[in-house]
Amino acid sequence: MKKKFVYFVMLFCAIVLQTSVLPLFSSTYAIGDVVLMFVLAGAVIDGFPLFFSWSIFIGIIFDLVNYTTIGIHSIIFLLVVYFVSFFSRRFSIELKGVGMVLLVLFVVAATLISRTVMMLLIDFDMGMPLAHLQEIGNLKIISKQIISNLFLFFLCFIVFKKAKKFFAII
Amino acid sequence: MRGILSIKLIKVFFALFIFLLLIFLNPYNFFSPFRSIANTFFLPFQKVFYTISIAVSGTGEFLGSIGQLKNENAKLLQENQHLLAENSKLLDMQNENVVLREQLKLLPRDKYDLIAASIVSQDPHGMGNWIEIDKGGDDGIVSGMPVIVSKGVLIGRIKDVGPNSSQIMLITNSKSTINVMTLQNSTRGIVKGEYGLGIIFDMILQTDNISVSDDVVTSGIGGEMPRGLYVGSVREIHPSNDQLFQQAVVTSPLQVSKLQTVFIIRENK
Repeated sequence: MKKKFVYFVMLFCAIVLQTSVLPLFSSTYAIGDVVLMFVLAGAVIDGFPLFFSWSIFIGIIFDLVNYTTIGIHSIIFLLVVYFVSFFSRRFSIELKGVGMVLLVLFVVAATLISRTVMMLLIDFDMGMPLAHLQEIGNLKIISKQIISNLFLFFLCFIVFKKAKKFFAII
Repeated sequence: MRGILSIKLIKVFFALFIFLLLIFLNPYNFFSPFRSIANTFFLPFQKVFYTISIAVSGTGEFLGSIGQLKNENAKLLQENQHLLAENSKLLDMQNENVVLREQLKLLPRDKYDLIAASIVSQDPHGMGNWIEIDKGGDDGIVSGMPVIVSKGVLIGRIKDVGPNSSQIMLITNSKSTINVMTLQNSTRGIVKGEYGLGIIFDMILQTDNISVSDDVVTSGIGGEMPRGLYVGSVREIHPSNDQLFQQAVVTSPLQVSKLQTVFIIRENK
């Protein structure tokens, strides 16, 4: 129960940050994705079995608040959680050495997965296939977003770890 | 190990299948009550954080601009003298404007019944598609109402309405189309959003006259919008892809990301 409450409070803060704070400080198409990074940090720390249902729940809540079609963010988060679990079994994930490189790889992959799924589904929704293709592949925008996401990921990762330690959550 | 792997994969595929099905079926109205509950819960916090963020971003911009202020001050002194001369010309143009508005039958700005609302959140993917406000059905807002800012500049229209919050589809949204005309020549067409990046004035007949810096206002055709709401000015003109029409890039005078308050036009007085 304590774990659920703490996770929900962190999720709540992430969603408020994502919808009401970050868009005011970022340029078009290059907004850092704090909710995605929260999911990524959760998946790295808790692992697939413990974070699978959370990723679905977070996706649904985010879609509800966000006026997007229900399911879009759950798909993105599920893919990210599975991607993390696939590599976590093969390598040790720590904030040093190869682990650090892997974490950066996770952020890059999560950003690309999120952008691609988001743009494709929006295009599908508008009946204009691949209308956003240019924006997916814009190197300058992607680089900006990856840098923002790297910062947000390490912030989420540290907050997640500290919160788990502080509240003695297993 | 292989068993666990396959269970994991099956779980992911099953969940993905369910969500893809949901997206294709898109039972939007089914989730409306849940959306309302979620928004009621998040709204007060979003409002507080949005207000703080606007203040912080404004302060940041101010601090960043201190270095430029000295140079700008010198320029402004020069411009001031120039503007004093211009002012006398503008007084004359003001009188002309009153006559023109009367001729064009534009609605005077004080003839709208407006509802003021605060912005609480924006499209988190930065695609300039929508903003959310803290007024909804309980305040008399219904879907389709035009949304302006203080000087009668159109920014979009109401899309989804909850009891105490609403979503505004911005004119930069690709799904947004509005009937417009130019003030100078009454050249008609439609403006539509361009993936959150800008506004395109489309369907202008090849025979119609349009020039750079022409003012674009709503034409009132179709009755969805009052006539005379300012959309922006023409920045660039080019033929459409099929060469049948002319197209113009329209520049809006405002930056939606810096707005805090908007006005919803309930009706014309």
